[in-house]
Amino acid sequence: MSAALQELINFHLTGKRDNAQTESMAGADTVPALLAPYRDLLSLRYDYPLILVEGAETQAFVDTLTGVINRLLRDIAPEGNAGEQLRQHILRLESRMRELAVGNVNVTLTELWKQAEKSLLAECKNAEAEWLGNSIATARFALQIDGQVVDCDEQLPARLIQHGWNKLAIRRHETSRRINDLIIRLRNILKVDDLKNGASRTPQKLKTTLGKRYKEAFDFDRMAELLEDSTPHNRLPAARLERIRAALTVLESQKFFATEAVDPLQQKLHDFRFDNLSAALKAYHERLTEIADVVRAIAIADLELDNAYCEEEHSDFFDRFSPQALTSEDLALFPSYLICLHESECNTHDLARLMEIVTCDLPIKVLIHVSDPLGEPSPIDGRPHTGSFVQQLVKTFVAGEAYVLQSPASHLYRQKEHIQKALEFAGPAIFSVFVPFADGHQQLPAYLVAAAAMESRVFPAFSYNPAAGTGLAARFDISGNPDVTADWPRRELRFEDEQLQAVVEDVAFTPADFAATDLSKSSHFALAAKDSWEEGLIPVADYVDREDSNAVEAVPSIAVVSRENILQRLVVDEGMIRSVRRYRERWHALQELGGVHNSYADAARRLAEAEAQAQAQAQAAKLEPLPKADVEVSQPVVEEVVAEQQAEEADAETAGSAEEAYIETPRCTTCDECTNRNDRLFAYDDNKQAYIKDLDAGSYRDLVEAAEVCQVSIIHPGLPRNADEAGLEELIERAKPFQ
Amino acid sequence: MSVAKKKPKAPVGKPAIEIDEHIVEILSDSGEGAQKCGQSFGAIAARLGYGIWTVEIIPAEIQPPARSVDGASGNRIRVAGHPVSNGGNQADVVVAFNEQVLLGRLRADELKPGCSILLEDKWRNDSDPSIAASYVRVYDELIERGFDVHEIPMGVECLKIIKDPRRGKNMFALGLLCSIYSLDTDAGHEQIRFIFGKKGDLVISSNQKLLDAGYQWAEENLDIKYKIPATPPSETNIVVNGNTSLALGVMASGMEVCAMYPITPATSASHYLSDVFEKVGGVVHQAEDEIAAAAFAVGSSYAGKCAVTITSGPGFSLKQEVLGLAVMAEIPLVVINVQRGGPSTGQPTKPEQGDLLTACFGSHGDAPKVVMAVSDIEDCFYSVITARKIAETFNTVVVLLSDAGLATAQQPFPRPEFCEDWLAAPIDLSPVEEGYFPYDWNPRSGQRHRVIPGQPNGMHTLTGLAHDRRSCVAYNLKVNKEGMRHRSLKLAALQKTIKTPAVLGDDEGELLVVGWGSTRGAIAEAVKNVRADGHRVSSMHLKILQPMASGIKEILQRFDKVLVVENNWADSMDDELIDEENRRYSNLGWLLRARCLVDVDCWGEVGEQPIKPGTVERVIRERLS
Amino acid sequence: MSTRATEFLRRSGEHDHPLEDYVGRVPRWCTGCGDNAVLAAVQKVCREEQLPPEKLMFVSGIGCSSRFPHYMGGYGFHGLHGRALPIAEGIKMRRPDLHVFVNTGDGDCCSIGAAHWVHATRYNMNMTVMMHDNNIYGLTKNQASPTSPIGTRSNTTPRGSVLPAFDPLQATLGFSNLSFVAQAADWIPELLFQIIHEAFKHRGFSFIRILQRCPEFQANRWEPCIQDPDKLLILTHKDGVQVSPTLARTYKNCEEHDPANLVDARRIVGTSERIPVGIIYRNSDVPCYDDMRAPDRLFTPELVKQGLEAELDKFTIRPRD
Repeated sequence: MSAALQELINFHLTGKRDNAQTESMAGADTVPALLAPYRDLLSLRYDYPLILVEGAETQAFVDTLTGVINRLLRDIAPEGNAGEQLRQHILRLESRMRELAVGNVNVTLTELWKQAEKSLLAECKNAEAEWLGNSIATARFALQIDGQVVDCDEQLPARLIQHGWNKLAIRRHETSRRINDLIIRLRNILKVDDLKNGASRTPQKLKTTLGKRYKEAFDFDRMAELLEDSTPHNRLPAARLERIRAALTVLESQKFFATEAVDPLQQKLHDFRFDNLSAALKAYHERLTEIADVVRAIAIADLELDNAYCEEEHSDFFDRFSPQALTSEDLALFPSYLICLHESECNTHDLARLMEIVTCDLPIKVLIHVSDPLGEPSPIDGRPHTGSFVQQLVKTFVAGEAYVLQSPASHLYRQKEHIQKALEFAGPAIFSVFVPFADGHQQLPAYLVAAAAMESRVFPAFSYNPAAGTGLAARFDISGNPDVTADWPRRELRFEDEQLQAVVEDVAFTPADFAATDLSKSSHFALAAKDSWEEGLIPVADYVDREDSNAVEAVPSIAVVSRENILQRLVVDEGMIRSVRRYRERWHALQELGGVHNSYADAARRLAEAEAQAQAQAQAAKLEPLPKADVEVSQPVVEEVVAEQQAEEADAETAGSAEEAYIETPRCTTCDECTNRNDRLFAYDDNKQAYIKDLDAGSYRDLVEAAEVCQVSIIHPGLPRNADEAGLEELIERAKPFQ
Repeated sequence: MSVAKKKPKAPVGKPAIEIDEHIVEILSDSGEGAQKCGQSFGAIAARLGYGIWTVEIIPAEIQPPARSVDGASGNRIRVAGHPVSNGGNQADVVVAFNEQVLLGRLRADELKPGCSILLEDKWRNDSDPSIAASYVRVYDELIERGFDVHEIPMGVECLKIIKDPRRGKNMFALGLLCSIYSLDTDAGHEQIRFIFGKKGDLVISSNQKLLDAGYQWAEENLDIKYKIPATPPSETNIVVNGNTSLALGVMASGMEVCAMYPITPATSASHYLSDVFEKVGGVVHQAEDEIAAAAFAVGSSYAGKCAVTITSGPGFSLKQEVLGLAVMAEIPLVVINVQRGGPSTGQPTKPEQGDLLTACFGSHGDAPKVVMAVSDIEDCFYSVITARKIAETFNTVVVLLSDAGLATAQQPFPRPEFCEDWLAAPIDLSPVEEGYFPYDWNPRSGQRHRVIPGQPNGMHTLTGLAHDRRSCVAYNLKVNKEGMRHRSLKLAALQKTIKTPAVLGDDEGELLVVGWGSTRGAIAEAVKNVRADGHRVSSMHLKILQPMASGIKEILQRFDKVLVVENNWADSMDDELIDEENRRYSNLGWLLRARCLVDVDCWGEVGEQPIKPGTVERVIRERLS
Repeated sequence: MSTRATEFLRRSGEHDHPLEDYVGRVPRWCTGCGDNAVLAAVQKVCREEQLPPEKLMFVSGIGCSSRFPHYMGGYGFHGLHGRALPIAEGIKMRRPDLHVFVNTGDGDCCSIGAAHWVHATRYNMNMTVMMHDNNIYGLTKNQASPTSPIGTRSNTTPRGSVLPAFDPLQATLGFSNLSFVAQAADWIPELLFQIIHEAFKHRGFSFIRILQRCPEFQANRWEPCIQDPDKLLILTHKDGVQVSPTLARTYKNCEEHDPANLVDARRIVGTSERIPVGIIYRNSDVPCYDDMRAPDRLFTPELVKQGLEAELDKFTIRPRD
């Protein structure tokens, strides 16, 4: 074993190095080999920058520059040369916008557009400038959308979620509209009632109602006197007016929604954004009583507007009405709360609050910004602990009824439907988003680091939507991650060796590779001299897969590329390897939740297969297998039988014995023929259909004649009960057709 | 072939002749913008404090052939140093973009003999010999008849500034007029900024250049220059045409539903309303036909606030059965009838006052309803508000009559100050008081308040059949009579509140001229002129024609002669077969004679234009002699 | 307030409406007239839905059928011959809170009011329309109507009518924007009730043609169908009407028909040998004119002021200073 390798093995086992040759510059000079090609993002058309779309409810709340430009071109750039020309120009504009967008905060799409246009035109000659200018003008005219342009930086998570929260709080608009309308309607009731006091019929009033050209045309005193009956005099009961005024006051003074019907200066509105959980919870609980009042007022208003409020029935209910009586449906009418936190601000105390929010289904949305998923080396043994406490916790919430969404900032746009649903969701929602701080530990763009965190399973994307059906299958989703079925996504690494031969390596991207993007983690890596490569280095992924992790003839390594674009290999220390294994375990857990490699399912499947096999053999054994068809028809047969039975039961009710007179009541068409004939003998039931009320109240003749005139022949006279009745023979003859 | 009469170059600083008023016409093929030029000229004048009255000159077809006699499109503007109440008589100055459109007006006798004509001269050398020929023919005729014709190279001048003269001539012409009437061009520039505001500075400036060019050209080449002294206006005015004013009135009256069916000349009111009504919570429903429009309005009136249906002659006839229902069931309803020439399809784009009797007595049986008429543009606005109020207070049908003349005429009037009391009150859905019946008529005034669906304890079935207080179908005569009596009493009650109309001039004398509706201005002006010559003539104008105010009979009796002047048919005693026993009087003529038992004479005209003050003056003088 | 709670309160407030609450004046139809059956069915639907009587709005035209509102216990509008629909539209346009029903006849709807019928279908406003089709003018004493079968002898066609009968169902299936059409027979109360109930629940313009007996002038028109139930074809579907076991004994002739299927609907209506009864076509996705044209903001004086001032600004000319 060479000394170099020996040295590396020692480093791997102890995490300590004794010569500077092995000093790694992971995260500073070098970047993980697979990421090297993306060092410069500006050359790519990817999800960023994003546009926080303003205005129109109909548009999505967020869009991408790329998407906007693509749609623009699809709409305005015709096939053929002209179109191609236009397309080229606009794409140039787009890439210039990208450059200008970097570090350019609080700029809107249209502003950015102008800046890019200016700098582009400044560069080119008159003719070209005019050309370009025209293209840009054309496109500008077709541009329908605007909003803040935001890049993938540490501000992004809060800005995006907040923007969505503001724009998507649809139910807020609905309720505010509803309250506004109620206010107007209640005011109208009072106004109408007020007009009945005669004030509306005074000469002065009548005069003002006509407009100036008619002020001299009428004798308004006379008119007032003649109009006494033109408006009703019935005022509403005092109690009712009182109730309506009370409800109105509550709706006018509520602090949850701005309403057109109330002067803005009079409206003091609650704030629903908080910077810490305790404050939000406190506010939430304090406001419950107000909410109860508003809900009560709305209900009373609804009833009053329909003249449906009934004191003896309702007053008691409303007197008792209190926050306890609020249903989740009621609460869903009101605004949700929003808190944006950095994980470092989450002490155990806050986490308890978080727990409370989730377990009590409070309409509170929490964003937790994670900036360092690997976390600081643990104070105890200096090893990196695998992922922050918050991440762990977020997963445990999947148990509760909270909407949970975890995603690195790089992939937030892909999750926009989930963000929207989570914000519209009546209950709590928790967003856990990773994007690194620009603190010098990263030389790669934040976007790339965020993406790497997901690629490496250090910060997987997943979502849990309690509103989506029942069962994890419907609610839990990890499909956002690469190669969900694999432990690690694998990519091809292409490079040239000393002999300039193209080499292709199949490389897995592991937490160790991710760690190599971060200068502060460089202590876990040691630079491996070329000659040791063949001898004893194996990729981290293979290393952690090995059965016995104690064999020490080889050490785990990752591939990185230096600024000079030279491939290097770094040996990873044991501490890092341990967390790699732990991340893999956690990923397996997620996979299982997400229905990939579900251990139960696998077991069940195996069992099912076994049974199927057994059955197949059984079938084969039989000489005459049962034709499949029979199995199918058997079902309807049963139904028919049931129907028959019902029919017979029905018979039992309607059809009496042949002697007894009866009417097929359900078929009666309420035509009054029989009832007009003898309304003591025939009567209507409470469905307004005829039945025989009292056979003694009429003669057999009545029955027969009624049967004859009955439009739908549903009267059956039966046999005479009184043998002495005159002309029976003839009547019995006539009755025959109706028996 | 004659040669163009070359005008001497105008002396610099030529003196402006001071005049009291003028009538200006701008004529072109449709699409050449004479309308815009005329409206702008009117607006500028109005802003400077002149009294104006503009009348649109509209061809019947949508796209008449270019250079056709009937294709004249443009504007007539009466400008005066004092307020004006009508379009006046004949034109003093005419700007024409081609000779054919001019010819149309000439034949219609709309041009004052010897008036100044500013004529585009490009046709004289037109490549098409027939065109050039016709131009010369007309030119010669004009000279022949002593008109003061000025040939003007409008196209050529405009080409110096813009590519397509057709698009710019109108502003050049505006420049000419500004110079002729000594209006400073700043006012013109403002106006241009106002009308082209949306189109951007480029358009604005090029139009302003055109205006200046026209102004300059006139200053240098024309020897006509006038000055009309005016008193700058103190208050803020608005300028709209009659139909827009009606639509604004509908908004201001607090009505929420307008049901209509397209018909000329009423439709433009609905066009405008369709654009703005929804902004104030209203709706314009274009129904499948006139009957449906009326029925729809009756439906929403019955269940909610009073609604309006807007129509013209033929549509008004179709609605009669529905109006009868509204009267019978006592449902408030406003019907606006923008009258046109009748009977039948008649003259759709021409004004007439022929529907007064139909309005009063239309629908079968005794169907008492209120009939009002608007007399000018401002009146359109306030009359709708009043009509709505009367309809809803008296639970009756109110017919509001306007006409094709007012529909498109423009006149500035003080900007209305919104008053909340104009609006209909919210509907009352409270429980109906015990023992109140849906038709609990007040025995003295016929008054009642209606019960509408949704009110507890008020359930009943409204019916067009004769019915009693409970709205039960009446099968005996007595009940029917009771209903008829009370419906009629409502009009009596309203009548008691109407003041006797004022008499313009002395309240006794040789002749009283009575009119209604849009003829008010023309009559007043004519009477004023005749009085100036010392004749003892007065005039009276009726706004509310049914019920008719008290005291009218007394007024008529104080004059030796009473003459009704209307824009509708009246037999002329000059016709051989016409005598006292078979003469068919004008609409108001019939009414006054029947109502007052006074031997009222009448004069009616069913021309193509609103009645001119000059014509009325002529008639008055005839009657006096 | 959770809708459940309000609903409970509403119910508890109004003391539950018995059939009597929906009964108006004593019907003056002839004894044996099919209209009585329609009246009973409608009253039952109102009871089933517990509709507040003051929110009921029955609009009608002229004719026997149009006496209907007088006999209901709600608000009624007995208007003009043929004009029931536009009046009902006007009412619904401003009063979405009212339950609007229209009762019309074959003459009222298919003849004098035909234009309104076509367009009412097109507007698709939310109302329930019952066309009482007795194939004759009754109130005016026996004249042939558009739906009278060819050869009908009446006062205006003493030697028999010469034109084939007009088919309202085929017509409606040709109208644009159709959203609900059904056919019922007054002598099958169970189905009549179900169909009217379905029509009421449908959001949009629900048109029911009701085959109605006129013992006075068309005594034998429907007799064959009544005597021989097989002359009818009952259209059943889980989204349509179901036939109870009792009824199934009389009406054996049933066919499963999905009201969503327009092609089948046309086929069924096209074939004349059997008279379909049931829901023929329904499309709940057709937008309603009353929804589309509803004001997006409630009427208030402030709103009018704003709107008016904005408009006046457009026309204002201020004096030059």
